[in-house]
Amino acid sequence: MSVLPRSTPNIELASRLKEIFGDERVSRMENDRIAYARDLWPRSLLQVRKDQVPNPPEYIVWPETPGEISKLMRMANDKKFPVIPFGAGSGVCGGTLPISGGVICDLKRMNRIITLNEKASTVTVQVGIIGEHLERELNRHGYTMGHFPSSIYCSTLGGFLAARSAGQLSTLYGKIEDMVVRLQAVLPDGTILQTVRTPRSATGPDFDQLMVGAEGTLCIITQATMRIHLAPAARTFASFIFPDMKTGVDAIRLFMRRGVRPAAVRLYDETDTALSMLAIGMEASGNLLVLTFEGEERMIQTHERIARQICLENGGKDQGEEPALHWFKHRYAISYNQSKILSADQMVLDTIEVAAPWAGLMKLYDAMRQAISKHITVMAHISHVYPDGASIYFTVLGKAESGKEIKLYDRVWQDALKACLKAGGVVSHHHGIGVLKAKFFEQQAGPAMRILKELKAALDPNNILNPGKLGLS
Amino acid sequence: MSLFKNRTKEIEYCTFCPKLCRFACPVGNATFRETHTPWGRQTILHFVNDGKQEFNREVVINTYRCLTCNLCQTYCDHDNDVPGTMLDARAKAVEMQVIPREVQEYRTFFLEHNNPVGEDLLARLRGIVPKALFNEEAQVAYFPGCGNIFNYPNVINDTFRLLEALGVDYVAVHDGEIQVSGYTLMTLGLLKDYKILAQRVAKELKRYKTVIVGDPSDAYEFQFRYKEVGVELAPKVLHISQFLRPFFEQNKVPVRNLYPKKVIYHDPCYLGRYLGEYDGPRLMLDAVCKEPIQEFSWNRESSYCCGGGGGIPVTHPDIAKQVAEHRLKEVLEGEEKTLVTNCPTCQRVFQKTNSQIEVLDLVTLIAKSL
Repeated sequence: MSVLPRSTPNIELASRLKEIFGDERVSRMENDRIAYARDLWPRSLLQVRKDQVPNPPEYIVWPETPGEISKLMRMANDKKFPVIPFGAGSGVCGGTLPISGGVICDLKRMNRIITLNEKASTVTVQVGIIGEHLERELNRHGYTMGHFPSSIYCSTLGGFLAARSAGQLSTLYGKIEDMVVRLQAVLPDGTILQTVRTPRSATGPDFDQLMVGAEGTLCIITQATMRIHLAPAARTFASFIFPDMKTGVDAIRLFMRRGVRPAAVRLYDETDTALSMLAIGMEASGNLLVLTFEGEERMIQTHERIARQICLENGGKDQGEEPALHWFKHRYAISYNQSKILSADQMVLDTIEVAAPWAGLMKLYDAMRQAISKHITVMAHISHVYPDGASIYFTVLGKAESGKEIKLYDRVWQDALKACLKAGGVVSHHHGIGVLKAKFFEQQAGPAMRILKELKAALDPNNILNPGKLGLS
Repeated sequence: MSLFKNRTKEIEYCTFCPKLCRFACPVGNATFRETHTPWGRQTILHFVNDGKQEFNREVVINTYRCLTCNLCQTYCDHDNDVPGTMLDARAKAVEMQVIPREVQEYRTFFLEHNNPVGEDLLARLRGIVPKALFNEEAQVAYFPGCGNIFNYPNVINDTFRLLEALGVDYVAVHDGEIQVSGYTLMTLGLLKDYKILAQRVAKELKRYKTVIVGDPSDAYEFQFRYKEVGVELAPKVLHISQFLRPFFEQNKVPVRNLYPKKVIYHDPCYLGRYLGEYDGPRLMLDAVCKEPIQEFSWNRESSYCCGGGGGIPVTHPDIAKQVAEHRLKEVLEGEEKTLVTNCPTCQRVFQKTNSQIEVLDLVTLIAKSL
């Protein structure tokens, strides 16, 4: 008895994989195939709840060098099997699901920190390293990468780069694409390349940026040089309540325009506000804004002072530092709720993160809220803020009719992203595309999708690398 | 009927968790496999519990890939008991006769000798400590544990030297036939054998009012796990560091020579996360070391396992070695330092992994200061 669908092992493939990786780093064990059959896409979790494991990989391999990956790619082209790059499987869009079978290429054995270049403020590291491990190592030497996604405990640098992720402090430190200065990668034909390291250049398109966000469809990133920062000498916290979302959004836009750069900027809708305030035993109606500042003490004092002045002048009421401090201390805690909710029958849960420029942000917020709330409970907050706009993070939650959980799940996403596109938003701010958003990404990209498709066809004519993701079927 | 009905909450919470302890699991970090993390192990048990996956040898072996170090719980808001679930699964495997070969071999050997090392530990102990310390009338006994008797007789001598310096003359060495708590039997799922052994140990320890224990995992067994299998232990149980701490707090330790080298302290899982003793060892080290003690970046509640827990050295010695190597990386960085711990298992694992590093028990270090 096995939860896996029946399949016949490809003995020849196994023996050839073992020629590259040895016996120990190739697996077709049932346990491994179960564990690598899903990532953290909530839709897969609904399937697990129904004891379904529809897409197990045929094999899993653990390379230790780019050379081994190169050999794997050549073999995959020769034998025509898919290769799916895999970090720690924390993606929430099905980006690492082996939907066409094939070989999962787990990069975590490639986790060495190669150099910490203090003069250049960069770290060069193999991308299989888990985010929290990298950050702790940097901290030991007095640095930070400034990248704190809520998945930091369970995701790798390779995953950050492939999915173009954002950390919670992206207003100050930028998204992952702002941090990368050089990549090493293996192309689908087995070529190993290294981009040129430079602070900035005018040497044609940026090759790093072609690979970042490609979700392992164009290449397997193996090593990265990343910008790092001195660990912050000081942190301050501020919180305000606004009468409505729009007033809060306007205040944020105004202080961002003045060059204020908090580390985190989060503006909650009424439901999210009530829950956040409840957690610290405070009551407030309206919309909570939490701001955190970090860096050199004198600099952050100035930033905080200007932000505070603008918030107070534009409808904000000071709530002291407690709400922001509480958020900072428990900034990963929200994810623990998933266990409770999704282990219960009929429950459906997910998060939808979209983005838009300031001018369209409230329109996007209203449109998506309306589209989602027809089906399920929704709450939201402005989660990441930039000078020209922001991301909105919706949490959707509800109980489906028995047996109709996946139907409800799909309907919510369908209507949410339809509304997103109609309102001028982008369908992902930091979770990526994967399988989940492929159709909508194609619509969003429009004619530009041709660039990606032709690039894919040229680099990977046999469609070996992570097929079916990013709208590249 | 679910095979692990009593553990459904633990299994489901891990299965549906976004792997929030992923980075902390020493086994998952050593093997790099999602399958070997709490999330991976529990996901497979989820399918077993639902009757969709056979509880076969492969699944069973995966439940043995847990050090029971409990580091996962440090990062779990639900305090989910992953080690407890793995131990239940192992016990079920033994009950169902799906026993890994290494476990079967361990059992056979253990039952033949009443310990895992194959020697008469009491005879060994008699050769280590003076006759005078075997006092049948004593109400307080020192239970050094198999690891100390077999590998670290010096720690036993240092313990008594220290007790003498503190004016403690009422502690005898335990002279029972059984010199183990049965910790490894329990972690390997051999519960019936464990219970029989626990009953014998409880009988032998019955005459004492207090037992001072040299190995923190033994202390935990005595204090908590014996009760779980229905064995009541009469005497009060203290780990040696718990016994010594008040003497330091009351400045009653005649420290003469401060230890001159740099020292880094490793929190043993069973002394730290299980018994909650973090400050005591540090307080004592501060009192006897010349320089401030260094800390691992993963310390106290986040202390990384040495690799010696949960029966892993029996079933997966390769994993044990990799975990130990990982832990020792920080010791090897920078200036030379002495690694201090307070558990014979940690000490042994570290010394076996790298013989160049000086590894001392806390008691030895204190004894050196007298």
